[in-house]
Amino acid sequence: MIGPAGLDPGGVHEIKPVRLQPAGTTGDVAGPCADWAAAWGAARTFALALISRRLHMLAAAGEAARPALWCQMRARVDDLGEIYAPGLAAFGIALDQLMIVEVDTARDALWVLEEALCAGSLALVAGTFEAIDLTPARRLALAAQAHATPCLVLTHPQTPAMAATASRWRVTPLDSAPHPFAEGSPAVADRSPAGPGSGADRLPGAHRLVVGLERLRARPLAGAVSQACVSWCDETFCFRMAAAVRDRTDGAGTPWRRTA
Amino acid sequence: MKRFVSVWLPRFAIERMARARPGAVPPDKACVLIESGRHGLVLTAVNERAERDGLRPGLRLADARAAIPDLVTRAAEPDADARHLHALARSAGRYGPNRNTEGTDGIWIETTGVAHLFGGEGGLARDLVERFRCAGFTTRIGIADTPGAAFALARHAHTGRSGDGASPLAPAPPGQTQTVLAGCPVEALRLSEATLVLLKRLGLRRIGQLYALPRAALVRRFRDVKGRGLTGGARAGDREELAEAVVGRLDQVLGRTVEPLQPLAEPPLRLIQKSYPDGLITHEGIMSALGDLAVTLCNDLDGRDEGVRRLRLSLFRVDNTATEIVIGTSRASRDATHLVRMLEERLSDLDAGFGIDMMALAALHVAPLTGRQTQLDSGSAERHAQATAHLVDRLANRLGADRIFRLATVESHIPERAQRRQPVDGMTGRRVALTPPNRGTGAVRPPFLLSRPEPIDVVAEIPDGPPARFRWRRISRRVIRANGPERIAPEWWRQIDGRSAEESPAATAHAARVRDYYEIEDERGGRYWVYRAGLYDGGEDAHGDRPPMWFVHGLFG
Repeated sequence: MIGPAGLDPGGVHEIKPVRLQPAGTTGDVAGPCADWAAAWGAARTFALALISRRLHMLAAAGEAARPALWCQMRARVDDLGEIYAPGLAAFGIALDQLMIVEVDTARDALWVLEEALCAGSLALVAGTFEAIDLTPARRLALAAQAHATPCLVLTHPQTPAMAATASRWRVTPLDSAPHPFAEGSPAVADRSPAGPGSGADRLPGAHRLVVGLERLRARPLAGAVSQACVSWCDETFCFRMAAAVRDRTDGAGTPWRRTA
Repeated sequence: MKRFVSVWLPRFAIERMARARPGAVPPDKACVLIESGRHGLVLTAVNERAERDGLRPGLRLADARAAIPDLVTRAAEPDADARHLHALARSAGRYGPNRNTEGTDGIWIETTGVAHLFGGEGGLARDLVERFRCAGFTTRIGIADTPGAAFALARHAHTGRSGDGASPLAPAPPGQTQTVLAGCPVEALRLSEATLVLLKRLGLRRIGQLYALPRAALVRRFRDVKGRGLTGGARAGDREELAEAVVGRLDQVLGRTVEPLQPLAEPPLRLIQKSYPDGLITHEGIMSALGDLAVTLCNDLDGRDEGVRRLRLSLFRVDNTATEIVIGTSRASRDATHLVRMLEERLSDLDAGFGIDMMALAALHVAPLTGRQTQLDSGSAERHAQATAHLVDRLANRLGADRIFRLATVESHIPERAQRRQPVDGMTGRRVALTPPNRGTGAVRPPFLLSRPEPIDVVAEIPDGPPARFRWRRISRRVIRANGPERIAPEWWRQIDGRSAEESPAATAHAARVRDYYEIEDERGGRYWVYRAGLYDGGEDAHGDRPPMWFVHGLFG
């Protein structure tokens, strides 16, 4: 998705989770009651998927191997967990491809991101923040542009949008796709390893997300937010257009790529 | 328990001269070293023959000549003595890495855990005495639990014995410092002259007499003592300070307080220094001077095919204060711009004071670095690797080397033990063959793991059903899909090799329970990796009497 045929490789891309309401509440409820885990989970899944795509693209283009950098803040690690090596296999990211930096403050994190962009030798740079002010946002954008390194920034859903971004995405979690062995899925029709009532329809399938593109610098959107429902395939390591409704089967099965 | 050796060279200065200039010190004649003092020439060192004739350092030359007319005199060379003692202390590194000179005629060595290499402390001392004897030095050795006690034993434990046959070794067995030291004179406590006079006037001549004396009583006695010759301690406040010094020294000698010691630093492998008579005050001036130094150092390293791994910049201010900055690099480097840039980040909060009149750049650790051709090589791999190494250096320099890492897997079934952090040295970013996770077999792993599992309230089917509903962080979640269980048994070998005893008993009991892991998804699309510690029927579980507990351990995304 990031590369010659996709998103601008020399830009900052902001990813924002969508705020979710906890079950049983209505209206706008803020504070500790709000359920961030699922929302952040979707945004982080999308970020890891983009890192994976970028690494794949570089390898496919025959370029020299270079690692990506993930900058995590201590407080957020305590809250939502740190990157877990065995789990990266589902995203096709080798451990040798991901350099991790741990910082205490947002100030340090911004410095790390800028330094990493200026090195110009990384495949991608990613970090998580509450919000980024105008000046640091502009600095990151300039550094990304000057050294042709894409930068992913995950920001808190309730803070205002970051300035100087090449694109901004709003990611919403969706329940997962039907498991390949579940009843009614095409795989089962041929082999049918699990008979009716085996419980396979309760198994979680591929990750599904609703990805909304709120802003694209290269082609300004005319007000409307373009949304797509995608699912992450952990065998081919790419997105597929997913069926929006749970009961429908998957789409054509071709990898989904932006050509903007 | 630490052990210290104190080596005293009682005739160091004159023996050094005898060794440095053969014939200068005739062994069969009384020979002394002299130096000009306040009241004319005084003796600073005497040889063995002169000592037998009754001469002592500190005596005036005129008095000495009156006693022995054919006295041979030589001028003392304190600077050469200090240099030689320093060299001796350096060579004493064979007995322990922490060592340094002690006064003008001694060396201390920390021999904690070293003595067995020489066959015990006796063997170590014999080896030491023999080596110094071959070099022409007489030695007295004290071994004790504290540096102060070793000092006291080396210098004052031998005086009580008569004749030359006295053993050069005075050890205090571990834990018995107090009893061994009781007989030593109070001079052994390294006190000032005025304090010693006061102590003697109070009749306190042996260290043992001080043991039973309460601190307050000592201060009071010091204050009340009257008499001549006590010019140094005229005021009551000064007397109290002197009494404090006695108590402080005693505490150090007996190991009640730790005495700070400065071990000899290893000399830098390459050192470039330059002085600036006018003093550098501006940041630009300092940076430009630093650039010149770095280029000189890098050219020097270039000739030797070496690169620096640790670099120290010392800045000496006009008012005799100094600042040091040490940086490390992730791989050997002799790129002057890179090194200067790393130093500059640390220099930003430097206080130049009245100006900096000398700068020294020292390579503390170098590694071989052969020339790499980067100009003609069109492949960008090497250039990227270089830039990444520089980035890692800068990040590690500011954040700390443990903050930048890559992950590696560890062969363990226990999820929290299955990964570890390791330094990013030589990280290629290369793709390796990946095995796709086996969806359906239950062996899935989340990409994010909580640093400690968080307990949850669960409604689940007994005995091994996945949760139907659970409450985590005060939010109730309904489970719509689940996969599992994947049973992970505790690593029984950890419980028998005693390693688990280091952890808290609660953690051990927790780790020892069987875990069943489930991948579950709630109605809002959040996916969690939860486990149940323990079994409902108690089966193979060692802690079957306690009900199972549920935890969230990881998040999918």
